[in-house]
Amino acid sequence: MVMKQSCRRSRPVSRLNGKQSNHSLKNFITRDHPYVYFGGSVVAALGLYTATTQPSELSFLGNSPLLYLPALLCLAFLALAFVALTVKLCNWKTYQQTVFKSERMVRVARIASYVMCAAALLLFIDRPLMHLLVVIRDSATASRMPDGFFQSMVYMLYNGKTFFRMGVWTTVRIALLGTLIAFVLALFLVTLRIQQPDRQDSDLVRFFKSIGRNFASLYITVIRGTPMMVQALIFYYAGFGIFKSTGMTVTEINQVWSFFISGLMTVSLNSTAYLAEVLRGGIESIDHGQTEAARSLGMSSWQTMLKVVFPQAVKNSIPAIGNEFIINIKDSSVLSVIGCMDLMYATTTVSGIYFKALETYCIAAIFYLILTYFSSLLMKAISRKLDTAVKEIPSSN
Amino acid sequence: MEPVIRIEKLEKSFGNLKVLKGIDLEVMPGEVVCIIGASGSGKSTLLRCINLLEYADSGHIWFDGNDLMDLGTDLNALRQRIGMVFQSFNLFNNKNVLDNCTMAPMTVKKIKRQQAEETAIQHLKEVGLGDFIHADSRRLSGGQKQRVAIARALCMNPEIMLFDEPTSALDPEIVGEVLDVMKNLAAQGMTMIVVTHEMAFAREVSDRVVFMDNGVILEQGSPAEVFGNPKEARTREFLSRYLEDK
Repeated sequence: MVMKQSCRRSRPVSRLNGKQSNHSLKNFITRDHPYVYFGGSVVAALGLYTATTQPSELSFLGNSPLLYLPALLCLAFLALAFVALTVKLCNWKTYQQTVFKSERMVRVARIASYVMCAAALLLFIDRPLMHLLVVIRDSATASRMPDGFFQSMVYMLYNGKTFFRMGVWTTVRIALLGTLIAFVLALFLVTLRIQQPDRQDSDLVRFFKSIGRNFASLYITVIRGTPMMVQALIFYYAGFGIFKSTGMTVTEINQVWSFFISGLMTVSLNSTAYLAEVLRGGIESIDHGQTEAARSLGMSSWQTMLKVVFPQAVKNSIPAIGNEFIINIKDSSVLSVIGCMDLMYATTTVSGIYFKALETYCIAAIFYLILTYFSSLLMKAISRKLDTAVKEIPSSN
Repeated sequence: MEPVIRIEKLEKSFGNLKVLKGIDLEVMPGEVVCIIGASGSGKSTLLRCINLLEYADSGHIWFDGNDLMDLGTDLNALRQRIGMVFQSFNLFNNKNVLDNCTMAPMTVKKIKRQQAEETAIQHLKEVGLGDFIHADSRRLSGGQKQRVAIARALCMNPEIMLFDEPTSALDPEIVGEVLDVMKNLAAQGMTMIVVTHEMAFAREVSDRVVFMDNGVILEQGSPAEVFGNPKEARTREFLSRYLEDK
């Protein structure tokens, strides 16, 4: 306890603290910031203002005397701040020596600001937040489309929840599975891509290596050079045609070659090309000395690849692989053209039911934003865990 | 006695630049051969050609009755018996010190982990790194890295060790710790070919000094001969700076 107090007083030292950057918000609140009165007054004023607004149905304080306690706390803090300001204006040069700068007063003011913030938070929950909840509840349970942009968004979100739930789930599954499958395929593709003829290879081996290298190169060029929407349509109809030629009925084909399966295949095959290039970059970034050292110890080129080069290359590529996952969350939206029930298709369906396009697409945007935001947080956490540098990589499209 | 390695008429060019112009060299068992010469004289290329990290254009490299230049030779099997230490250490970045040393024996020779680790620890102790067994190889100092690299090569129990300027990337203060390890190795009777700019080491430790210039072996002989009484003018010129310092 003594340690903690002395620590709190030594403000300049805490700035040099190595862990400061990790807990900057916490430090700002507990000891760093010099704006207790000013910042606190703003919060207190906002708290007071919310206290004057009309209570909503769900408001628990209502207009009862209980409301006065937090409101008075805010008012008291404003008064304290006013006194401090007056003292400061009257003693501009000698303010440091006044009672307001004494250690005890500084601590009292800070604790007072915490109490006041709690009171303001209570008011904030009671008025605007509860009001918002009432609006959401009323909009969601309305018998017909309510007026207002936000209200109709809530209405459609609630009534179309099965669509949205299925859409989000499909999008997440396609992005996740697609990236994983693509990663495995990309490992194969990049292995083909980097084959170089060796001095000891027979003509046959050279021939196959050359075929593999050129195939990988062609695949990457074609896939990266065409839009995924076009690929989705081609894959879907090609698959459909193939199954059709085996004499299956349309119902049977739809079971085997569903929109989901063909969508997943599109994303996987598309990402394979991008990830193969990512991995190739990763492999080429590994110092050639690593390979030479392994070969000089008698390891074969396969053993060198598997044990030395690939582990390092994959590890270095993890941020880019995570980036590809995030891109897939967004880009899977083009799969709606083949009728894959992803988030975009769900949104279009809902918008068709209610004839409210702008509102539904805003819902979709918010969903995509939430998905990508939390995915990128997850990727950063994984990268940090694996001790790889987090690099911002430009989008592939 | 049969030489461990016999090089005959080895030639190598990079594009139009002819780097090796017919090298003949024999190394006897237990012999320590130091190759000296100016930068660009082909020393490193010669060494890298010996375990075929570079492919020579023509000539022969005889090692235990096999011609390494023969396309049918199993290079991986022969490379196991030729240890190599690089100027830039080339420790495996994704492994700790011990795994650096055990990976090749376990992968290539299929030695059990426990046995491989025992051997590795023994060699790491020999090079004075018994306390760094589980250290991250990227966090070591240059001298420590190079000693790990030597231990790693020794774990394959090689018959000959190639050193490619092992101390050139080290600062003068820690060159000594690597050279000491190499001296011990030489004293134990290891056959060594060392490409080096450490003249004092060449003079003190080697059985034979080979002076290369412009892709040919210009002069070779005992350290006393080459350093004490160089025959060729070019050798004298190259050594003059070092001899003046003495």
